[in-house]
Amino acid sequence: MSRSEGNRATERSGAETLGENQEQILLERARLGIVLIMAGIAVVFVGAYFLHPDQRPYINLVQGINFVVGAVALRVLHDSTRRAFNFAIGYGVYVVTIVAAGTAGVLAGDATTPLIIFVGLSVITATLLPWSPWWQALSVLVITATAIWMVSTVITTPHLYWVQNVGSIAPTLVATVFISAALQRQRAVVEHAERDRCSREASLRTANARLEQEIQEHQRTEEALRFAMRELDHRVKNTLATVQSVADQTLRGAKSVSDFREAFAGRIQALARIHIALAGRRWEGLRVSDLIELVVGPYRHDRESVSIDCDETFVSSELVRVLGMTLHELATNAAKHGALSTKAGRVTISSSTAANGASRLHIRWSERDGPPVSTPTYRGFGMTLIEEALAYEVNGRVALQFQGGGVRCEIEVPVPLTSA
Amino acid sequence: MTALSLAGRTILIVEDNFVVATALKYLIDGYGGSVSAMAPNLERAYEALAATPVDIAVLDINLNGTSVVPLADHLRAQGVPFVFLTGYGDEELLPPHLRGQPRFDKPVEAERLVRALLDLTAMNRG
Repeated sequence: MSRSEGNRATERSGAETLGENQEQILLERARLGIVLIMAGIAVVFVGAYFLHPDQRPYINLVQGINFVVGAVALRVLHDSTRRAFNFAIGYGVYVVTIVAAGTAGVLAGDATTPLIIFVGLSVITATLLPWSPWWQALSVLVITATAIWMVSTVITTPHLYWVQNVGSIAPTLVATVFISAALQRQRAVVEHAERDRCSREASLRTANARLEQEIQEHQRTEEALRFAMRELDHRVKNTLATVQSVADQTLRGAKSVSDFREAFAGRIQALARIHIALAGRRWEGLRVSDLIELVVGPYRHDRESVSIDCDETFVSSELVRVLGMTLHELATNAAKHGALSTKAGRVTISSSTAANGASRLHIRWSERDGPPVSTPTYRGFGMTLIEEALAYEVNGRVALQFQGGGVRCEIEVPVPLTSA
Repeated sequence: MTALSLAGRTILIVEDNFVVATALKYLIDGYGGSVSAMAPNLERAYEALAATPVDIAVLDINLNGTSVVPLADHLRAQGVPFVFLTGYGDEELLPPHLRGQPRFDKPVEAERLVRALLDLTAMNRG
Protein backbone atom coordinates (compact mmCIF):
# COMPACT_ATOMS: atom_id res chain seq x y z
CA MET A 1 0.00 0.00 0.00
CA SER A 2 1.37 3.43 -0.89
CA ARG A 3 1.64 6.19 1.67
CA SER A 4 -1.17 8.32 0.15
CA GLU A 5 -3.52 5.32 0.15
CA GLY A 6 -2.73 4.77 3.80
CA ASN A 7 -3.57 8.40 4.61
CA ARG A 8 -6.85 8.20 2.74
CA ALA A 9 -7.78 5.06 4.66
CA THR A 10 -7.12 6.85 7.97
CA GLU A 11 -9.28 9.83 6.92
CA ARG A 12 -12.11 7.57 5.85
CA SER A 13 -11.99 5.69 9.13
CA GLY A 14 -12.05 9.00 11.05
CA ALA A 15 -15.17 10.14 9.21
CA GLU A 16 -16.84 6.85 9.97
CA THR A 17 -16.01 7.07 13.67
CA LEU A 18 -17.69 10.49 13.72
CA GLY A 19 -20.75 9.05 11.89
CA GLU A 20 -20.88 6.11 14.29
CA ASN A 21 -20.84 8.46 17.27
CA GLN A 22 -23.74 10.54 15.92
CA GLU A 23 -25.64 7.34 15.17
CA GLN A 24 -24.98 6.13 18.70
CA ILE A 25 -26.30 9.39 20.28
CA LEU A 26 -29.45 9.25 18.11
CA LEU A 27 -30.00 5.64 19.08
CA GLU A 28 -29.60 6.40 22.78
CA ARG A 29 -32.13 9.25 22.58
CA ALA A 30 -34.64 7.08 20.71
CA ARG A 31 -34.15 4.35 23.27
CA LEU A 32 -34.67 6.82 26.13
CA GLY A 33 -37.82 8.17 24.40
CA ILE A 34 -39.39 4.75 24.00
CA VAL A 35 -38.50 3.79 27.58
CA LEU A 36 -40.17 6.98 28.88
CA ILE A 37 -43.27 6.33 26.75
CA MET A 38 -43.50 2.74 27.98
CA ALA A 39 -42.98 3.87 31.59
CA GLY A 40 -45.73 6.48 31.15
CA ILE A 41 -48.13 3.89 29.79
CA ALA A 42 -47.21 1.61 32.71
CA VAL A 43 -48.04 4.41 35.17
CA VAL A 44 -51.44 4.93 33.46
CA PHE A 45 -52.32 1.21 33.68
CA VAL A 46 -51.09 0.75 37.25
CA GLY A 47 -52.87 4.00 38.25
CA ALA A 48 -56.09 2.70 36.67
CA TYR A 49 -55.69 -0.53 38.66
CA PHE A 50 -55.55 1.37 41.97
CA LEU A 51 -58.02 4.19 41.12
CA HIS A 52 -60.67 1.98 39.49
CA PRO A 53 -60.23 -1.50 40.98
CA ASP A 54 -63.64 -2.46 39.68
CA GLN A 55 -62.79 -1.79 36.01
CA ARG A 56 -60.72 -4.56 34.32
CA PRO A 57 -58.54 -4.99 37.46
CA TYR A 58 -56.23 -7.84 36.31
CA ILE A 59 -55.75 -6.45 32.84
CA ASN A 60 -54.70 -3.03 34.09
CA LEU A 61 -52.26 -4.59 36.55
CA VAL A 62 -50.77 -7.03 34.03
CA GLN A 63 -50.45 -4.32 31.35
CA GLY A 64 -48.79 -1.99 33.87
CA ILE A 65 -46.27 -4.65 34.93
CA ASN A 66 -45.78 -5.65 31.31
CA PHE A 67 -44.80 -2.14 30.23
CA VAL A 68 -42.50 -1.71 33.24
CA VAL A 69 -40.72 -4.96 32.40
CA GLY A 70 -40.52 -3.97 28.70
CA ALA A 71 -39.06 -0.57 29.60
CA VAL A 72 -36.46 -2.07 31.96
CA ALA A 73 -35.55 -4.75 29.42
CA LEU A 74 -35.09 -2.16 26.67
CA ARG A 75 -32.94 0.01 28.92
CA VAL A 76 -30.76 -2.80 30.21
CA LEU A 77 -30.62 -5.44 27.50
CA HIS A 78 -29.29 -3.55 24.49
CA ASP A 79 -25.62 -4.53 24.77
CA SER A 80 -24.94 -6.06 21.35
CA THR A 81 -21.98 -8.08 22.66
CA ARG A 82 -24.32 -10.07 24.97
CA ARG A 83 -26.77 -11.08 22.29
CA ALA A 84 -27.46 -14.62 23.55
CA PHE A 85 -28.17 -13.34 27.08
CA ASN A 86 -30.43 -10.55 25.77
CA PHE A 87 -32.23 -13.01 23.55
CA ALA A 88 -32.95 -15.37 26.47
CA ILE A 89 -34.14 -12.58 28.81
CA GLY A 90 -36.19 -10.93 26.03
CA TYR A 91 -38.06 -14.09 25.17
CA GLY A 92 -38.37 -14.96 28.88
CA VAL A 93 -40.17 -11.64 29.36
CA TYR A 94 -42.29 -12.36 26.33
CA VAL A 95 -43.35 -15.80 27.65
CA VAL A 96 -44.25 -14.31 31.06
CA THR A 97 -46.27 -11.61 29.25
CA ILE A 98 -48.21 -14.13 27.17
CA VAL A 99 -49.06 -16.28 30.17
CA ALA A 100 -50.04 -13.34 32.40
CA ALA A 101 -51.90 -11.33 29.77
CA GLY A 102 -53.54 -14.46 28.39
CA THR A 103 -54.85 -15.36 31.83
CA ALA A 104 -56.03 -11.76 32.50
CA GLY A 105 -57.61 -11.50 29.05
CA VAL A 106 -59.50 -14.76 29.46
CA LEU A 107 -60.78 -13.59 32.87
CA ALA A 108 -61.85 -10.17 31.52
CA GLY A 109 -62.99 -11.33 28.09
CA ASP A 110 -61.48 -8.46 26.02
CA ALA A 111 -58.87 -7.67 23.31
CA THR A 112 -55.92 -6.87 25.57
CA THR A 113 -54.17 -10.21 25.21
CA PRO A 114 -53.29 -10.11 21.48
CA LEU A 115 -52.44 -6.39 21.74
CA ILE A 116 -49.90 -6.99 24.49
CA ILE A 117 -48.42 -9.96 22.72
CA PHE A 118 -48.17 -7.93 19.50
CA VAL A 119 -46.34 -5.07 21.23
CA GLY A 120 -44.02 -7.39 23.16
CA LEU A 121 -43.10 -9.29 20.00
CA SER A 122 -42.45 -6.11 18.05
CA VAL A 123 -40.17 -4.66 20.72
CA ILE A 124 -38.24 -7.88 21.12
CA THR A 125 -37.88 -8.36 17.38
CA ALA A 126 -36.75 -4.78 16.78
CA THR A 127 -34.28 -4.56 19.62
CA LEU A 128 -33.10 -7.91 20.87
CA LEU A 129 -33.22 -10.55 18.16
CA PRO A 130 -30.09 -11.40 16.18
CA TRP A 131 -30.15 -9.59 12.86
CA SER A 132 -30.17 -12.70 10.72
CA PRO A 133 -32.68 -13.29 7.89
CA TRP A 134 -34.16 -16.45 9.42
CA TRP A 135 -34.93 -14.83 12.77
CA GLN A 136 -36.44 -11.82 10.99
CA ALA A 137 -38.63 -13.99 8.81
CA LEU A 138 -39.80 -15.96 11.83
CA SER A 139 -40.58 -12.75 13.76
CA VAL A 140 -42.50 -11.21 10.86
CA LEU A 141 -44.49 -14.45 10.58
CA VAL A 142 -45.35 -14.54 14.30
CA ILE A 143 -46.15 -10.79 14.43
CA THR A 144 -48.39 -11.06 11.37
CA ALA A 145 -50.31 -13.98 12.91
CA THR A 146 -50.66 -12.03 16.16
CA ALA A 147 -51.84 -8.93 14.27
CA ILE A 148 -54.56 -10.92 12.50
CA TRP A 149 -55.62 -12.37 15.85
CA MET A 150 -55.56 -8.87 17.42
CA VAL A 151 -57.64 -7.25 14.66
CA SER A 152 -60.25 -10.03 14.71
CA THR A 153 -60.55 -9.66 18.52
CA VAL A 154 -60.57 -5.84 18.58
CA ILE A 155 -63.48 -5.67 16.13
CA THR A 156 -65.70 -7.56 18.61
CA THR A 157 -64.50 -5.54 21.64
CA PRO A 158 -66.43 -2.52 23.13
CA HIS A 159 -65.51 0.74 21.41
CA LEU A 160 -63.90 2.49 24.38
CA TYR A 161 -61.56 -0.34 25.32
CA TRP A 162 -59.83 -0.70 21.95
CA VAL A 163 -59.49 3.08 21.53
CA GLN A 164 -57.75 3.09 24.91
CA ASN A 165 -55.54 0.12 24.02
CA VAL A 166 -54.63 1.28 20.50
CA GLY A 167 -54.01 4.82 21.76
CA SER A 168 -51.54 3.61 24.34
CA ILE A 169 -49.84 1.15 22.10
CA ALA A 170 -49.50 3.17 18.85
CA PRO A 171 -46.61 5.40 20.04
CA THR A 172 -44.79 2.33 21.25
CA LEU A 173 -45.06 0.74 17.82
CA VAL A 174 -43.88 3.91 16.04
CA ALA A 175 -40.89 4.17 18.39
CA THR A 176 -40.16 0.49 17.90
CA VAL A 177 -40.09 0.84 14.12
CA PHE A 178 -37.78 3.86 14.46
CA ILE A 179 -35.44 2.13 16.88
CA SER A 180 -35.37 -0.93 14.66
CA ALA A 181 -34.30 1.15 11.67
CA ALA A 182 -31.66 2.91 13.76
CA LEU A 183 -30.31 -0.40 15.02
CA GLN A 184 -30.14 -1.78 11.51
CA ARG A 185 -28.18 1.26 10.35
CA GLN A 186 -25.88 0.94 13.32
CA ARG A 187 -25.24 -2.73 12.58
CA ALA A 188 -24.44 -1.90 8.96
CA VAL A 189 -21.96 0.75 10.06
CA VAL A 190 -20.31 -1.58 12.55
CA GLU A 191 -20.09 -4.36 9.98
CA HIS A 192 -18.66 -1.98 7.40
CA ALA A 193 -16.07 -0.74 9.88
CA GLU A 194 -15.19 -4.34 10.76
CA ARG A 195 -14.81 -5.28 7.09
CA ASP A 196 -12.69 -2.20 6.51
CA ARG A 197 -10.50 -3.02 9.50
CA CYS A 198 -10.11 -6.61 8.25
CA SER A 199 -9.14 -5.45 4.77
CA ARG A 200 -6.69 -2.91 6.20
CA GLU A 201 -5.21 -5.61 8.38
CA ALA A 202 -5.00 -7.94 5.38
CA SER A 203 -3.22 -5.35 3.26
CA LEU A 204 -0.87 -4.59 6.15
CA ARG A 205 -0.16 -8.30 6.51
CA THR A 206 0.47 -8.59 2.75
CA ALA A 207 2.84 -5.62 2.82
CA ASN A 208 4.58 -7.07 5.86
CA ALA A 209 4.95 -10.48 4.23
CA ARG A 210 6.36 -8.85 1.10
CA LEU A 211 8.84 -6.91 3.19
CA GLU A 212 9.93 -10.03 5.04
CA GLN A 213 10.34 -11.85 1.74
CA GLU A 214 12.47 -9.01 0.42
CA ILE A 215 14.61 -9.09 3.53
CA GLN A 216 15.07 -12.82 3.18
CA GLU A 217 15.99 -12.47 -0.48
CA HIS A 218 18.45 -9.77 0.44
CA GLN A 219 19.97 -12.01 3.11
CA ARG A 220 20.22 -14.88 0.65
CA THR A 221 21.94 -12.64 -1.90
CA GLU A 222 24.33 -11.38 0.75
CA GLU A 223 25.05 -14.94 1.86
CA ALA A 224 25.70 -15.99 -1.76
CA LEU A 225 27.95 -12.98 -2.22
CA ARG A 226 29.91 -13.80 0.94
CA PHE A 227 30.23 -17.39 -0.23
CA ALA A 228 31.39 -16.24 -3.67
CA MET A 229 33.98 -13.94 -2.07
CA ARG A 230 35.28 -16.73 0.15
CA GLU A 231 35.42 -19.00 -2.87
CA LEU A 232 37.25 -16.34 -4.86
CA ASP A 233 39.77 -15.80 -2.04
CA HIS A 234 40.24 -19.53 -1.85
CA ARG A 235 40.91 -19.75 -5.58
CA VAL A 236 43.28 -16.79 -5.54
CA LYS A 237 45.32 -18.30 -2.68
CA ASN A 238 45.41 -21.66 -4.43
CA THR A 239 46.37 -20.01 -7.69
CA LEU A 240 49.18 -18.10 -5.99
CA ALA A 241 50.35 -21.34 -4.38
CA THR A 242 50.28 -22.99 -7.80
CA VAL A 243 52.22 -20.11 -9.36
CA GLN A 244 54.81 -20.27 -6.60
CA SER A 245 55.14 -24.03 -7.03
CA VAL A 246 55.32 -23.78 -10.83
CA ALA A 247 58.03 -21.11 -10.48
CA ASP A 248 60.03 -23.25 -8.01
CA GLN A 249 59.90 -26.27 -10.25
CA THR A 250 60.46 -24.44 -13.51
CA LEU A 251 63.52 -22.87 -11.95
CA ARG A 252 64.73 -26.26 -10.81
CA GLY A 253 64.75 -27.61 -14.38
CA ALA A 254 65.89 -24.44 -16.15
CA LYS A 255 69.29 -24.39 -17.87
CA SER A 256 69.37 -20.61 -18.28
CA VAL A 257 67.43 -17.49 -17.33
CA SER A 258 65.88 -17.23 -20.81
CA ASP A 259 65.01 -20.92 -20.64
CA PHE A 260 63.24 -20.28 -17.32
CA ARG A 261 61.52 -17.13 -18.61
CA GLU A 262 60.13 -18.92 -21.68
CA ALA A 263 58.94 -22.03 -19.83
CA PHE A 264 57.50 -20.10 -16.88
CA ALA A 265 55.69 -17.56 -19.08
CA GLY A 266 54.21 -20.39 -21.16
CA ARG A 267 52.89 -22.17 -18.06
CA ILE A 268 51.46 -19.02 -16.48
CA GLN A 269 49.83 -18.00 -19.79
CA ALA A 270 48.23 -21.44 -20.09
CA LEU A 271 46.87 -21.12 -16.52
CA ALA A 272 45.62 -17.62 -17.32
CA ARG A 273 43.83 -18.73 -20.49
CA ILE A 274 42.17 -21.59 -18.60
CA HIS A 275 41.17 -19.18 -15.82
CA ILE A 276 39.63 -16.67 -18.25
CA ALA A 277 37.68 -19.38 -20.09
CA LEU A 278 36.39 -20.88 -16.80
CA ALA A 279 35.45 -17.49 -15.34
CA GLY A 280 33.53 -16.76 -18.55
CA ARG A 281 31.51 -19.89 -17.91
CA ARG A 282 30.95 -19.19 -14.21
CA TRP A 283 33.37 -21.93 -13.14
CA GLU A 284 31.02 -24.62 -14.37
CA GLY A 285 33.59 -26.22 -16.66
CA LEU A 286 34.45 -26.48 -20.36
CA ARG A 287 33.78 -28.81 -23.27
CA VAL A 288 36.84 -30.96 -23.91
CA SER A 289 37.13 -29.68 -27.51
CA ASP A 290 37.14 -26.05 -26.27
CA LEU A 291 39.75 -26.84 -23.64
CA ILE A 292 42.10 -28.47 -26.15
CA GLU A 293 41.72 -25.62 -28.63
CA LEU A 294 42.37 -23.15 -25.82
CA VAL A 295 45.58 -24.81 -24.65
CA VAL A 296 47.03 -26.29 -27.84
CA GLY A 297 45.66 -23.72 -30.30
CA PRO A 298 48.40 -21.10 -29.65
CA TYR A 299 51.06 -23.61 -30.78
CA ARG A 300 49.49 -24.12 -34.21
CA HIS A 301 51.84 -22.52 -36.74
CA ASP A 302 49.68 -23.23 -39.75
CA ARG A 303 46.18 -24.51 -40.31
CA GLU A 304 47.17 -28.16 -40.81
CA SER A 305 49.75 -28.52 -38.07
CA VAL A 306 47.21 -29.34 -35.34
CA SER A 307 43.98 -31.18 -35.95
CA ILE A 308 41.48 -31.60 -33.18
CA ASP A 309 38.79 -34.23 -33.44
CA CYS A 310 37.08 -34.25 -30.07
CA ASP A 311 33.70 -34.99 -28.63
CA GLU A 312 31.56 -32.57 -26.63
CA THR A 313 32.12 -34.11 -23.20
CA PHE A 314 31.88 -31.53 -20.44
CA VAL A 315 34.86 -31.27 -18.10
CA SER A 316 34.43 -29.84 -14.59
CA SER A 317 36.48 -26.83 -13.53
CA GLU A 318 38.76 -28.86 -11.22
CA LEU A 319 39.54 -31.33 -13.98
CA VAL A 320 39.94 -28.53 -16.52
CA ARG A 321 42.83 -27.06 -14.51
CA VAL A 322 44.90 -30.24 -14.23
CA LEU A 323 43.97 -31.60 -17.67
CA GLY A 324 44.76 -28.21 -19.20
CA MET A 325 48.19 -28.11 -17.55
CA THR A 326 48.92 -31.62 -18.76
CA LEU A 327 47.93 -30.76 -22.34
CA HIS A 328 49.95 -27.55 -22.13
CA GLU A 329 53.07 -29.54 -21.22
CA LEU A 330 52.46 -31.88 -24.18
CA ALA A 331 52.03 -28.89 -26.51
CA THR A 332 55.06 -26.98 -25.26
CA ASN A 333 57.15 -30.13 -25.46
CA ALA A 334 55.98 -30.70 -29.05
CA ALA A 335 56.80 -27.09 -29.92
CA LYS A 336 60.30 -27.42 -28.46
CA HIS A 337 61.35 -30.93 -29.44
CA GLY A 338 58.48 -32.64 -31.28
CA ALA A 339 56.17 -32.34 -34.27
CA LEU A 340 55.35 -28.66 -33.73
CA SER A 341 59.03 -27.73 -33.97
CA THR A 342 59.06 -28.28 -37.76
CA LYS A 343 56.85 -27.03 -40.55
CA ALA A 344 55.94 -30.51 -41.77
CA GLY A 345 55.11 -31.93 -38.33
CA ARG A 346 51.51 -32.76 -37.44
CA VAL A 347 49.68 -33.30 -34.16
CA THR A 348 46.36 -35.07 -34.06
CA ILE A 349 44.26 -34.93 -30.91
CA SER A 350 41.09 -36.97 -30.66
CA SER A 351 38.82 -37.85 -27.81
CA SER A 352 35.95 -40.16 -27.05
CA THR A 353 33.92 -40.98 -24.00
CA ALA A 354 33.17 -44.54 -23.00
CA ALA A 355 30.62 -45.34 -20.38
CA ASN A 356 30.77 -48.70 -18.71
CA GLY A 357 29.62 -48.24 -15.14
CA ALA A 358 31.39 -44.93 -14.75
CA SER A 359 32.13 -42.64 -17.64
CA ARG A 360 35.73 -42.26 -18.82
CA LEU A 361 37.12 -39.71 -21.19
CA HIS A 362 39.91 -40.90 -23.53
CA ILE A 363 42.20 -38.38 -25.19
CA ARG A 364 44.73 -39.55 -27.77
CA TRP A 365 47.66 -37.26 -28.58
CA SER A 366 49.60 -38.33 -31.62
CA GLU A 367 52.54 -36.61 -33.32
CA ARG A 368 53.98 -37.49 -36.76
CA ASP A 369 56.24 -36.13 -39.50
CA GLY A 370 58.34 -34.32 -36.94
CA PRO A 371 61.96 -34.88 -36.00
CA PRO A 372 62.82 -38.37 -34.72
CA VAL A 373 62.25 -38.66 -30.98
CA SER A 374 63.60 -40.92 -28.28
CA THR A 375 62.83 -41.35 -24.59
CA PRO A 376 64.51 -38.44 -22.83
CA THR A 377 67.22 -39.21 -20.30
CA TYR A 378 66.28 -36.29 -18.05
CA ARG A 379 62.79 -36.13 -16.53
CA GLY A 380 61.94 -32.48 -15.99
CA PHE A 381 58.94 -30.90 -14.32
CA GLY A 382 56.93 -30.99 -17.57
CA MET A 383 57.40 -34.72 -17.98
CA THR A 384 56.55 -35.39 -14.31
CA LEU A 385 53.43 -33.29 -14.61
CA ILE A 386 52.26 -35.05 -17.79
CA GLU A 387 52.72 -38.50 -16.34
CA GLU A 388 51.68 -37.99 -12.73
CA ALA A 389 49.36 -35.03 -12.17
CA LEU A 390 46.18 -36.60 -13.57
CA ALA A 391 46.79 -39.84 -11.73
CA TYR A 392 47.44 -37.92 -8.53
CA GLU A 393 44.53 -35.50 -8.61
CA VAL A 394 41.69 -37.27 -10.40
CA ASN A 395 42.69 -40.92 -10.51
CA GLY A 396 43.40 -40.73 -14.23
CA ARG A 397 45.80 -42.81 -16.34
CA VAL A 398 48.45 -41.46 -18.70
CA ALA A 399 50.62 -43.51 -21.03
CA LEU A 400 53.39 -41.47 -22.70
CA GLN A 401 55.48 -43.10 -25.42
CA PHE A 402 58.42 -41.75 -27.40
CA GLN A 403 58.19 -43.79 -30.59
CA GLY A 404 60.43 -43.13 -33.58
CA GLY A 405 57.65 -41.43 -35.54
CA GLY A 406 56.67 -39.03 -32.76
CA VAL A 407 55.29 -38.71 -29.26
CA ARG A 408 52.13 -40.56 -28.43
CA CYS A 409 50.12 -40.01 -25.32
CA GLU A 410 47.00 -41.80 -24.15
CA ILE A 411 45.04 -40.03 -21.43
CA GLU A 412 42.12 -41.52 -19.58
CA VAL A 413 40.19 -39.65 -16.89
CA PRO A 414 36.91 -40.35 -15.10
CA VAL A 415 34.16 -37.83 -15.81
CA PRO A 416 30.63 -37.62 -14.43
CA LEU A 417 28.08 -39.58 -16.44
CA THR A 418 26.04 -36.50 -17.28
CA SER A 419 27.43 -34.36 -20.07
CA ALA A 420 26.34 -31.00 -21.41
CA MET B 1 74.19 -21.05 14.25
CA THR B 2 73.30 -24.38 12.71
CA ALA B 3 71.63 -24.61 9.29
CA LEU B 4 68.03 -25.81 9.31
CA SER B 5 67.85 -29.51 8.60
CA LEU B 6 65.03 -31.98 8.47
CA ALA B 7 67.41 -34.91 8.22
CA GLY B 8 66.00 -38.05 9.77
CA ARG B 9 62.40 -36.82 9.68
CA THR B 10 59.77 -38.71 7.72
CA ILE B 11 57.00 -36.45 6.53
CA LEU B 12 53.58 -37.08 4.96
CA ILE B 13 52.17 -34.47 2.56
CA VAL B 14 48.39 -34.33 2.18
CA GLU B 15 47.57 -31.81 -0.55
CA ASP B 16 45.10 -32.16 -3.43
CA ASN B 17 47.02 -30.00 -5.93
CA PHE B 18 49.78 -32.01 -7.61
CA VAL B 19 51.96 -29.02 -8.44
CA VAL B 20 51.76 -27.63 -4.91
CA ALA B 21 52.35 -31.08 -3.41
CA THR B 22 55.45 -31.74 -5.53
CA ALA B 23 56.81 -28.26 -4.73
CA LEU B 24 56.43 -29.07 -1.04
CA LYS B 25 58.13 -32.40 -1.56
CA TYR B 26 61.11 -30.71 -3.26
CA LEU B 27 61.18 -28.14 -0.47
CA ILE B 28 61.36 -30.82 2.19
CA ASP B 29 63.84 -32.85 0.15
CA GLY B 30 65.92 -29.69 -0.12
CA TYR B 31 66.11 -29.43 3.67
CA GLY B 32 67.14 -33.05 3.98
CA GLY B 33 63.78 -34.46 5.06
CA SER B 34 62.22 -37.60 3.67
CA VAL B 35 58.72 -37.47 2.21
CA SER B 36 57.02 -40.80 2.83
CA ALA B 37 54.15 -40.04 0.44
CA MET B 38 52.05 -37.33 -1.18
CA ALA B 39 48.33 -37.96 -0.77
CA PRO B 40 45.60 -36.05 -2.66
CA ASN B 41 42.76 -37.34 -0.49
CA LEU B 42 41.97 -38.95 2.89
CA GLU B 43 41.85 -42.48 1.53
CA ARG B 44 45.37 -42.33 0.09
CA ALA B 45 46.60 -40.59 3.24
CA TYR B 46 45.35 -43.46 5.45
CA GLU B 47 46.95 -46.00 3.07
CA ALA B 48 50.25 -44.11 3.22
CA LEU B 49 50.14 -43.93 7.03
CA ALA B 50 49.46 -47.67 7.24
CA ALA B 51 52.43 -48.39 4.94
CA THR B 52 54.96 -46.01 6.53
CA PRO B 53 54.89 -44.45 10.00
CA VAL B 54 55.68 -40.72 9.90
CA ASP B 55 57.16 -38.15 12.27
CA ILE B 56 55.00 -35.28 11.10
CA ALA B 57 52.32 -34.45 8.54
CA VAL B 58 51.53 -31.38 6.43
CA LEU B 59 47.78 -31.15 5.85
CA ASP B 60 45.88 -29.04 3.34
CA ILE B 61 42.65 -28.21 5.19
CA ASN B 62 40.40 -28.37 2.12
CA LEU B 63 40.95 -31.43 -0.07
CA ASN B 64 38.95 -30.58 -3.17
CA GLY B 65 35.93 -29.81 -1.02
CA THR B 66 36.55 -32.51 1.61
CA SER B 67 37.65 -31.49 5.11
CA VAL B 68 40.90 -32.93 6.40
CA VAL B 69 39.61 -32.85 10.01
CA PRO B 70 39.00 -36.64 10.41
CA LEU B 71 42.62 -37.32 9.42
CA ALA B 72 43.85 -34.61 11.83
CA ASP B 73 41.90 -36.23 14.68
CA HIS B 74 43.33 -39.62 13.71
CA LEU B 75 46.89 -38.23 13.76
CA ARG B 76 46.32 -36.52 17.09
CA ALA B 77 45.08 -39.83 18.56
CA GLN B 78 48.25 -41.50 17.23
CA GLY B 79 50.42 -38.75 18.72
CA VAL B 80 51.67 -37.63 15.31
CA PRO B 81 52.16 -33.83 15.12
CA PHE B 82 50.93 -31.93 12.08
CA VAL B 83 50.61 -28.46 10.54
CA PHE B 84 47.82 -27.09 8.38
CA LEU B 85 48.05 -25.42 4.99
CA THR B 86 45.19 -23.03 4.32
CA GLY B 87 43.73 -20.83 1.70
CA TYR B 88 41.83 -17.83 3.10
CA GLY B 89 38.55 -18.88 4.73
CA ASP B 90 39.53 -22.53 5.19
CA GLU B 91 40.00 -22.02 8.95
CA GLU B 92 36.20 -22.06 9.19
CA LEU B 93 36.34 -25.76 8.31
CA LEU B 94 38.31 -26.42 11.50
CA PRO B 95 36.54 -27.34 14.76
CA PRO B 96 37.62 -25.30 17.82
CA HIS B 97 39.91 -27.98 19.24
CA LEU B 98 42.09 -27.87 16.10
CA ARG B 99 42.35 -24.10 15.78
CA GLY B 100 45.42 -23.94 17.99
CA GLN B 101 47.48 -26.05 15.54
CA PRO B 102 50.16 -24.27 13.49
CA ARG B 103 48.70 -22.95 10.24
CA PHE B 104 50.45 -21.73 7.11
CA ASP B 105 48.81 -19.60 4.49
CA LYS B 106 49.31 -20.54 0.89
CA PRO B 107 51.67 -19.74 -0.71
CA VAL B 108 53.98 -21.11 1.96
CA GLU B 109 57.10 -19.37 3.26
CA ALA B 110 59.59 -22.22 3.12
CA GLU B 111 61.74 -21.32 6.11
CA ARG B 112 58.84 -20.70 8.51
CA LEU B 113 57.30 -24.03 7.55
CA VAL B 114 60.58 -25.91 8.05
CA ARG B 115 61.13 -24.23 11.43
CA ALA B 116 57.65 -25.25 12.58
CA LEU B 117 58.21 -28.83 11.41
CA LEU B 118 61.48 -28.92 13.36
CA ASP B 119 59.88 -27.47 16.51
CA LEU B 120 57.04 -29.98 16.44
CA THR B 121 59.28 -33.02 15.88
CA ALA B 122 61.71 -31.79 18.55
CA MET B 123 58.86 -31.48 21.07
CA ASN B 124 57.61 -34.88 20.12
CA ARG B 125 61.02 -36.46 20.62
CA GLY B 126 62.04 -34.42 23.65
